[in-house]
Amino acid sequence: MWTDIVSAVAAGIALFLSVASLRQSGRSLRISERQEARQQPNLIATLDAGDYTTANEGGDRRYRIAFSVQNRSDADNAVVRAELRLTYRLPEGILMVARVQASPESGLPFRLEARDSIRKECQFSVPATIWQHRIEAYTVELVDTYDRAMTMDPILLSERRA
Amino acid sequence: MIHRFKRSIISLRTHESAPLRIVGDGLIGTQGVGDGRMIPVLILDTAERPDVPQYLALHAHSGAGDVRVQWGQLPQFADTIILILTVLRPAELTILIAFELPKKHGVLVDQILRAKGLYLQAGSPGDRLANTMDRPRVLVEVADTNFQAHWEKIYYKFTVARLRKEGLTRTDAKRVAKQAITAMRDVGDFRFPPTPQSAVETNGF
Repeated sequence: MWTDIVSAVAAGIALFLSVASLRQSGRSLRISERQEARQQPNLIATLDAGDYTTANEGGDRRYRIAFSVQNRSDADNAVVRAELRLTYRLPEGILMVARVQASPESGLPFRLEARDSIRKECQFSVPATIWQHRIEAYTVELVDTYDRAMTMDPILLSERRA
Repeated sequence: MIHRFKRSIISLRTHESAPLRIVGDGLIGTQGVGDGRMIPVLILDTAERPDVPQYLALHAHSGAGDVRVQWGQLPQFADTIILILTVLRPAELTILIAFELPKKHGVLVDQILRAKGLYLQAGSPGDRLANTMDRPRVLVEVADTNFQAHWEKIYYKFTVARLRKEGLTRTDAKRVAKQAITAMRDVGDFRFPPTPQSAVETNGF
């Protein structure tokens, strides 16, 4: 009789321990998954300001785009490329998309340590063959080490007078 | 249908869907470019595609670009090989180039594959390389897309058929086709010695 009671108590304890162990492993798994997720590249780019200057009629127009980049990941990253995409309309009505690389003085690529943020300014030299047409839209595209692209869409860019 | 290609669908904007015609061609060999290979120049009729000269002008400004290439055939264009150029930089556009085999464009396809590149130039009917040397042109690298093996069969079959039309017997046509292709390739394999840029105009095969 008493052996049955002892067995039942032991089985109850074993069940309690297994449930506790299961919950503990579930918790550990969730922590480890969260840690893994935090290691994934996660850059956020925010547009701060943008304008342009034109040296002379028929010359290049120099666009200046200032932006901030936050690295929300636990892993280091870098921005390796910046491009200004200009959507413009040719006189015949065809919509054209041009990609202009950031000028060498823009300081690319730049490194971003884990959980760090940085403010940068990139310059883009846009030839008259583009800006003399009717520009419809701008997009700034940043590409990180993992080939992930982030975009910012300046809506109105104004000319900066000297 | 010259050969059975794997079917696929590509997305194009309306104005991009018509293949551009080749109105002139030639070869440019420069010691400093592609180790002196004789690279074909394609002068394209861009009357309906103002975005193509615009792309060439942008490329001249930026000096660098990014293009994906794919060979194929369009169902409605018999005896024509299409080269699909998907330009990613400095502009975004798609260019379809029609190589019409009856118009002797096979030699251009063959030379593009052997030189692994081509020059694109905008133009209009009547333009010749010799009198448009100052026009902007873009050098496009044509990577191996496993088309070479298909092309060998297409080129050989088309050359045999052409020789048969000219009156040769089947056996003679097969023999002469091999000789003709080899002879054309010997000319195309010439590498330019270290001298300033030179141009040679061709008449196709």
